[in-house]
Amino acid sequence: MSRIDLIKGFANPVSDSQFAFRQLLKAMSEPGLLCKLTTPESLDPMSEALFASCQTLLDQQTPIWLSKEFDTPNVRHNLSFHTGAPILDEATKAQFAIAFAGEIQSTESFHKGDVEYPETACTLLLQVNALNGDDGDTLKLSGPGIETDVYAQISDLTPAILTYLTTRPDRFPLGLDLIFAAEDALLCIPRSTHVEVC
Amino acid sequence: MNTSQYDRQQWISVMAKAPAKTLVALSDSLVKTHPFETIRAPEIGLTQVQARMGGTGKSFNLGDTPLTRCVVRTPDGTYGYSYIAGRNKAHALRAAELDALLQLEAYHTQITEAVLIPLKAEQDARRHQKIAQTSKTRVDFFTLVRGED
Repeated sequence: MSRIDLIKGFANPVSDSQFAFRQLLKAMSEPGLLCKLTTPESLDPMSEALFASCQTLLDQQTPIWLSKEFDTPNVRHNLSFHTGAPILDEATKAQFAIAFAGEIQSTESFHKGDVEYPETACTLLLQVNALNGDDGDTLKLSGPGIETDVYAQISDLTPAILTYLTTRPDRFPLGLDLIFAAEDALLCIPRSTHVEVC
Repeated sequence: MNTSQYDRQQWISVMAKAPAKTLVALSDSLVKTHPFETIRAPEIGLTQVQARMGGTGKSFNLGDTPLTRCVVRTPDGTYGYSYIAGRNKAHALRAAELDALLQLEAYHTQITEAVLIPLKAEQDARRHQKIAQTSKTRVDFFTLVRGED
């Protein structure tokens, strides 16, 4: 069994998480824009940007779901310690889902929101190997927050994610918001963005 | 070092009840040079206090109290924790640092003698003074034998 080690959280919890939140807000309102997020220590196997997002977005009132790769005693212990978020076994009621992009074989199980409360939809925090690197699919993004169109290259996208993004089976305002994180960078594709695969 | 849960409870309690200024002043020279990593920087929150009427009744929520908590780590991987009533971050940080060092054999005796014993003596003296003050006006209720049978 792996050793459980508490790792360092934000050095200044208030100002650091406010800064990180501002970066996430920027990334979410300008889809495809790369934003930097850092934290003193990264939680194996999470990237720095992903762990910083977790510390910023999660608290006692946001149930989360961990994928198989992330569901280790060490990750559970550290997330509970630093965020206090309840960890669920089923993805259906989670407000945030944390996974490697390569693990998502279906988007069925995530909550897409109700017509009365579309904001209750699940936000997927997905870890990938590279953003705007050399490998992966190039997506052409357009829609709110983008002047004409913008290109984003994301590695490890599964057919399930690509199909979901290009077909958008849930009618707006329902749908999933996606945050992709690699190392200290992240980019967002919210439900309002129109996606084409190049 | 093998620390028992009871011992640790004792020193955590002494440090939590100590006046922040005294605790920091007594321990400054022992802690200042030591490199600590802050796992959870001191943060202020609220906790609910429960009470029992007369110490034996049904428990009820008395109210909220501010609480400061902190976790630090020494280079060799020992964790120090603190939960301090109030909003004094310096107090919480110092108590967590001392908790970590007290678990290490190399520092235990030194800190116990320099910090814990004087604080404990002061707390005991205060408690005894309070007991002495209140015992002057103490009233013992008892029922005399009524002699009915």
